[in-house]
Amino acid sequence: MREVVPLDDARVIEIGCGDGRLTRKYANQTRSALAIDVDRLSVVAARALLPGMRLASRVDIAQAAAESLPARRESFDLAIFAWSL
Amino acid sequence: MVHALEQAWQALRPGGLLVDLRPLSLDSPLEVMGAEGEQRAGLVDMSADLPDDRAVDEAINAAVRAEVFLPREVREFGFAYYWQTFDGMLKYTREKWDTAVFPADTLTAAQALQAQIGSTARFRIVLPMHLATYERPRTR
Repeated sequence: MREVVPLDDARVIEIGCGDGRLTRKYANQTRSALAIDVDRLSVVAARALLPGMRLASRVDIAQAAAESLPARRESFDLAIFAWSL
Repeated sequence: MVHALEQAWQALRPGGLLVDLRPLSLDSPLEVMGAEGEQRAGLVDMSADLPDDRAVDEAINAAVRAEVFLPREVREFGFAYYWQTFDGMLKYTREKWDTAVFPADTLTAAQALQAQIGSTARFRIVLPMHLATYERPRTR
């Protein structure tokens, strides 16, 4: 994904993050990442596995549906659907 | 899904990118690996998800036709899952890939290869992945 997607300093929203497995791979390259999933248990798992404060400070994980994103308009550089469209 | 694309469009700044990363619903090889390399046991039938794949493609194509998103890059590559044991593979795939079908002859062949290779046998399934990016137009 790094070859194709300009992650550096990007503001990212990941829609359908599951347990955050992918989030953890790319988040330290970004300016910020908002990872959402509609499944509460997935959100709990993703939050529990966030490694370290440095990463945690730039990542927010929220329970939300793709159809009602908790985000301001035009506030992201990337919208990632991984295994979720 | 159309709503999800609309929401993503609204969240993206003009010029921002939508990233679509997903496995394609194509039959995928189950391989058993040993010291001398991998041997194919057979194919895993992933076709149950084809209707979902097509629905996603249609929704994205409609957005492209409407110039809501502009196609940028497409890459396809293999994404490998590894398991240390046959039972571990079955447990994981039953939990996570509930639509995958393992034909009996594929499983039988995998167990035969495992017996041939011995305790160092490992199991691998390589999923064909699709990665595509689409740009929200800068002017609209």
